[in-house]
Amino acid sequence: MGELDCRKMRESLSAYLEGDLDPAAAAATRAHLEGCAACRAELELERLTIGAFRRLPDLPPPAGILAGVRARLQPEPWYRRLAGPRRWLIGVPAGAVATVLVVIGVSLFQARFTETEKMGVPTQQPTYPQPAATAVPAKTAVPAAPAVPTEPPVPIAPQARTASPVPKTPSVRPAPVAAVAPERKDDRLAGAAPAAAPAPASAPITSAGGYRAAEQAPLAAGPRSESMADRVAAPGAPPAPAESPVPVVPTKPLVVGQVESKVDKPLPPAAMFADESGKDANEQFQRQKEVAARPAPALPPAIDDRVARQPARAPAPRDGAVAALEESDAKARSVPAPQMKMKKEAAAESSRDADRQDEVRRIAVGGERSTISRPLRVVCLLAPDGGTIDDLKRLLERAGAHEVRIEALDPRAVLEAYAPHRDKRGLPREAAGGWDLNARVPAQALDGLIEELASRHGLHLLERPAARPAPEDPTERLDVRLTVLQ
Amino acid sequence: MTDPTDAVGRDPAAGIDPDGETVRRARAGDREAFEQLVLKHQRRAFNVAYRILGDYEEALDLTQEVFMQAHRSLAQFRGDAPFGSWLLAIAVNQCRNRLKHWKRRAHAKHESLSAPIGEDCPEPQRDLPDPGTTALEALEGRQLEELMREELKHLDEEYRTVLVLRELQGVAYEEIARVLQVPVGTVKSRLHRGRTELRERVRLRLTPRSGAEGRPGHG
Repeated sequence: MGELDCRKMRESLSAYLEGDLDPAAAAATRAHLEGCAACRAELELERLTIGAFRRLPDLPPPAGILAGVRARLQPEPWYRRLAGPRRWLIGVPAGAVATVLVVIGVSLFQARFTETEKMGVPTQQPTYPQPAATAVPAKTAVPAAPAVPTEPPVPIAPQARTASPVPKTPSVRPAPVAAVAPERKDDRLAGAAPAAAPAPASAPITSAGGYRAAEQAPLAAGPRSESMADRVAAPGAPPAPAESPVPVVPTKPLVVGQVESKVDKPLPPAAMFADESGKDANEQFQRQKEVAARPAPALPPAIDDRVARQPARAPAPRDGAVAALEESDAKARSVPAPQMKMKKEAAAESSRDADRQDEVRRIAVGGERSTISRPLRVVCLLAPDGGTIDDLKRLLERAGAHEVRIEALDPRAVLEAYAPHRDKRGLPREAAGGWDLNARVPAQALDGLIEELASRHGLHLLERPAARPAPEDPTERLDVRLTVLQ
Repeated sequence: MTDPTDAVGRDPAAGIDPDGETVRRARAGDREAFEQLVLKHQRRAFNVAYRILGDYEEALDLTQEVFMQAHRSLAQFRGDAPFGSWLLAIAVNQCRNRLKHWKRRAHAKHESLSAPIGEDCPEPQRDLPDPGTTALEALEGRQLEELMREELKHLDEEYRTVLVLRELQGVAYEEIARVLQVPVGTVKSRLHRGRTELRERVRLRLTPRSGAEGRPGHG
């Protein structure tokens, strides 16, 4: 066989293996292989290489992906929502818009001097020129005086809705309602102290306030199903009284960082002015608002990867356990040593109880559940230079496994069942032994876990569960028994 | 390799997008619907990025960018192809752009991305049993994965992409062709040339050479 022929054959071996050659070429290749040992060896190398390549593990996705996407997904700033298909805005006189901006600013400036928690009607106490106060229609003036609420922040828009209900289509959202961010900037530039944070929060950005209000509720209640448009129109927050002017009682101005609302913790208004751009300020505000309004335990496991990946014995104590531990520590200082030890143990037990309660709670709200009564078997042989059982336990926990339990195996049983594998690898029989690691593993993480076991930690995969269809419920957990043979 | 029954976007002939309803809700502004799409497709997007870029952190960052791009472009998604395919195309394009960016900046880890093989090394003797096969058989687990991962990084970007999509993600030829916007024949050609090159690199890595140091193509 000529060198040229062999070189040509080499280039077609991949297609030959995959069946991508036309019949004539495939026949010619077959004939060549029959007479060429070198090319046959090359074909075998091709087979081994591709086989090894295909066994590269499919890694479980990092938990940070969803968190990162969430952090970057912010509600559109008001000026973006004004663009696009908001055709009703076209033609709105710039002067009227400017007028509204000024009036809103005046009212917001007033709001920060009041201690009342009610939403107030603009008092028309100008702190800086308001050229067109008289020209402001009622429905646009109304949103301009948010007070400092401790109730759930009321979007300014609801007042507008009271006067003229906001329809459920975003295209009819009142314009002025969306103009708070720049107004706040004017406040600052005018030397005014930061206005009440809830005011901008709830304001006017109807969608922002509505979105926020609606977002908070589902976090506690379960999956959200309403569309963004629905939230915009019906934020769910009670509308403030449309005509009950709140007397402005001057108080000390809000200090940056001071939080007025007890329910929704608005951010320091100064956070709104991190830079000259209302866009960045609004985004920062929204981002921090999301962080403040996001209680981790209440999120469904399907949404929060971190919940699914929490180790079996997550050390972070829950509220009740924290209180218990704190109480324990406080009392320990005045309690003799043996009693102190008992109190610490009691507090630790309380912490574990809280963990179990959380576990039950997650399951109760449709979180994790195991649908397999018999565990799936994964059998590995641990090479002498492999990791330790503790390493494997950590591997399981990192993959989101719960309730990892380790049981030692009878060496005689292990030797009897898997001696041929040990012989093949030249492992001494005398060192036979093993462990069962029982755990409940997220279904969606199982395949990646098995691949990682096969490719790392000096483990030889001997048995693995059959391929399964992708779980419909991403929170499903499977009972897995990882048998590690030594 | 991923579970072959994870058939998101793998049956373009089916004509039914399993994510159709979720995509519709996401386009209407339902953030939770979009997050469901993220949860469903993040694994594939991340693994594609990781294998093409060869860097875990870069792949994490790029995967987030992929979903952000998808979110921004959701209004332009016509539904001609399954959402998974569309997202895959975004991921591949983002990877391509990132690699180009690295090339321009002479990213140290990727300087030899397209280094040809065998330039400095003689052809292996053909009258002896191929040592590469024996050496490859002797490798297991971590070493084998390391070898494959390293050699994949040195393949030409076009070959690498097709190899990752076809061999690791099990994507059909037709879908790859749609993602890359090239004919199916081109996909097959790149696949087989990529496999051939991978095989050659593996052999050269494993074949003992007197006085030879380092991998082919490296400076």
